[in-house]
Amino acid sequence: MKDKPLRLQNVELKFGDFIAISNLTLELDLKEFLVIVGPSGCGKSTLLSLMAGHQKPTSGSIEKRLNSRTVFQGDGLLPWLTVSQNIVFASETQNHKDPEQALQLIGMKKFADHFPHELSGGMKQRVEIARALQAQSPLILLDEPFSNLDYLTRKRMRLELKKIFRDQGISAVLVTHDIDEAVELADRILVLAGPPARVTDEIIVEKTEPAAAVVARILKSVGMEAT
Amino acid sequence: MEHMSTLWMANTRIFRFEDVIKSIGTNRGWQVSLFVLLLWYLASATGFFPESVFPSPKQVLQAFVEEVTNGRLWRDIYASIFRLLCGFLIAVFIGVPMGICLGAYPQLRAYGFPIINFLRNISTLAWIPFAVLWFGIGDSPVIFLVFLGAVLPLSLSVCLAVPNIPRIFFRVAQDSQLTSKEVLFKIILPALGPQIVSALRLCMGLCWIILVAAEMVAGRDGLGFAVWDARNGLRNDILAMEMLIIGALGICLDKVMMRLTLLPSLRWGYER
Repeated sequence: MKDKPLRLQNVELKFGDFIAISNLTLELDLKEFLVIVGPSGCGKSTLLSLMAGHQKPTSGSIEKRLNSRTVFQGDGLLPWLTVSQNIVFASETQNHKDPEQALQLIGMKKFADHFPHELSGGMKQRVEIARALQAQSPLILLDEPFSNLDYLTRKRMRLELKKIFRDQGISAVLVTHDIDEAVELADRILVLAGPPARVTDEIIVEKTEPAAAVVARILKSVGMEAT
Repeated sequence: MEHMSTLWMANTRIFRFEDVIKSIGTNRGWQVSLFVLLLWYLASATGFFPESVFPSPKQVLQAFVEEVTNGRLWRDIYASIFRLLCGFLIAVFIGVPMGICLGAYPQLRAYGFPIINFLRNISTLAWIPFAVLWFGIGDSPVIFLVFLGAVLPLSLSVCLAVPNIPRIFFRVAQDSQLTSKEVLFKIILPALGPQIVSALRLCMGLCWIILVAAEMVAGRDGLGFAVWDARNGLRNDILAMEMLIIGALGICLDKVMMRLTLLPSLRWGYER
């Protein structure tokens, strides 16, 4: 239990009378890639902001043993800094000031001196990912980081990201409504329903299991049959 | 810091004097000014505009040569610009931090906002008697009045801009484990950059107007005093010339302030 990088115990979050998250308990294993799927508006991003410490729960406890970085949906870039400056922003106190490798990874070397308002939504998301990787954080929280990317870039980024996370032993939580993305990246999938957000199913993704079978299990857990 | 060096490089590029002059020369406003000058000349030459009512362009040009030759014009311009910059810079160094504090702390805003709102509705010119009483005649009362004219609108605009900084920037700061001081200098001030520059531009124009009025009463030199002195000496030619100089310098000051918006690290605020 001690080496769990993140642990939520009976967490509840209220905004006035509205209950956003109700009595939610979950744990993240070290080096695990946990994906939380659920429909839009069920409280996925709110849950992620609780995990990041950006919001405090109304009741319950959140234990976080590692420093985390959040990859937002592209709107977390600082508009007065260039792409390069944004990438090294989180790393200025450490010795990771050279953004070359991160720029190479996201395929944006040519845009190093551009400002965020000059980039497309997908490019912004890629810079956000690069910023999180540059900081070499052991725990990364991703809020639908591929939602604005085109199909090919999305596929490439997923593969690269999974490889980097595995090689560097990074623990990760990703929230998405894209089931294919969840199956491709996850070691474990939590199916969320709401509001109030609650876990309705937990699916361990076996490496040998065909993706279609995992998708069918998720659909079944939300009361839909795969066609 | 890397981005600071970019800013400095941009500074040196943006404030090239020849660029400022070029932008004035290619401006349509410049062409309109020449047209108005032509109309003025024709009105004066045909007697439609008698010289007893308003001086002719020739008289004004002669007054200009006279004031340049005897060196008074340069001394007045220097005195006015010096007072403007002193009052304005003091207002920036006090007004911006005051606006940030009021914007960041709602309780402080609840007390401070009504006071600022009350004071800013009192014309700065109404303070002239007190300025003279407290500071006498010369630089100090004018600098005080310029400061007073800029500090309240500036702090008010900064105060209103602070709550509009996207919350996500503070989440990035939290993830990056920035200290409070770093949040101020790396998040809050850059995020307010475009609003601060817009407010500075507006305040600069306001200060220029206040300065001229203040110098008329509380100055011993400066463009405002020169206008008043010309009026007392019945020198309408000098009076009109000084008015033209005041207008032209006001435009130049606005052009310089406007070029601040071209700084790379501020462009996001104007191009979105």
